[in-house]
Amino acid sequence: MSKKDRWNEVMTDVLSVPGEIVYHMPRIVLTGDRSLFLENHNGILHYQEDLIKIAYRGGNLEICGEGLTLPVLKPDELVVEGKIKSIAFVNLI
Amino acid sequence: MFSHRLAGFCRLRIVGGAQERFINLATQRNIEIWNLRDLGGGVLLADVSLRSLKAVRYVAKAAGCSLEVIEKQGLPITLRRLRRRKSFLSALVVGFLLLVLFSQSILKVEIETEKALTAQEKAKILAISAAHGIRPYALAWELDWQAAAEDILRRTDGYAWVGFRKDGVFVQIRLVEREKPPPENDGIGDIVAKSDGVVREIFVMKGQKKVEVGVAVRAGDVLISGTVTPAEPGTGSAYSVHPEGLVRGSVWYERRLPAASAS
Repeated sequence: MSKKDRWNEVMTDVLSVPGEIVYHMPRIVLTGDRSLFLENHNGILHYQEDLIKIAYRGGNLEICGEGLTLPVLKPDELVVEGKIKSIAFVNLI
Repeated sequence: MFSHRLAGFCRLRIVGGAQERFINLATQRNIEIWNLRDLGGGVLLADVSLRSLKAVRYVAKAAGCSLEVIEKQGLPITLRRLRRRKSFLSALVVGFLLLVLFSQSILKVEIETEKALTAQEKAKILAISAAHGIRPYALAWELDWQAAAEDILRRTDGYAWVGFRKDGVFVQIRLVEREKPPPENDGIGDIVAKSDGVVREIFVMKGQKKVEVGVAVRAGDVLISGTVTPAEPGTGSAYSVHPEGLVRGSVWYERRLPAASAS
């Protein structure tokens, strides 16, 4: 295990620092199939009513659905609303 | 978290160009986008804060999109529009001031007592209150309630306590009647025995003693007379007083009971 990985492990396990900060992962809060709250994104790669692609560090998130809109789009967090059919992680590492 | 409506926003139509690039550029510049919708055919609808409009135009240009401002909403916009309607604003302000003014005044003065008051008495109390400023349409700030209460007490008869209570715009005057001491009886007369008995004790404060201790009396006999006759005949004339004194005696009661028959 590299030094960096070891350091990350210490941060999360011992010091209880949230995972999304240590590993730079996005935090996704899904409410049913109607609302998706995403924290820690890196930009919108594609936006269409039936497909939204959001980038995060290390990959993309593909959200398929119908009538998808982004009620909130802030530099660090966003919300997707509409009828969500599927969410897929496309890891690029 | 969500109300961008308060701070003011504009609704934009973003046509053509690299739409995702527009979104990402805006995001990178800390511009917040609300209600992003896809209208199809390369048209997006979004709300953007009024303050960031300038930056948004720049981003749109960089991404090759054309912008169209559809609508502007929010508190700053409302204020700007109100500036053109001065009479409306002034009416609002005047109305508010009137409300405050009325809330600080007195609208009605009521009297509350245990016993009913005659119209005359009511009028008198109201008049005294009015003299101290406690009347309808008066301002309720520097009214001397204490002085008014004292004045009413001083100028009327028969009240033990007068209280003023202010309840919003109503003023309630509470009166508590005083219990008058029983009227003095100054009549001339005699103190007579109520029943038969034997006098045990007699003490005269006013009047003339007519019986001695140990004397048996019948109901109706005069015990202390109101007419005082002088001790020595010729040393003054008889005079009348309202007799006062204390007479104690022993009385007895009779009762008849059926005896048990002894047969």
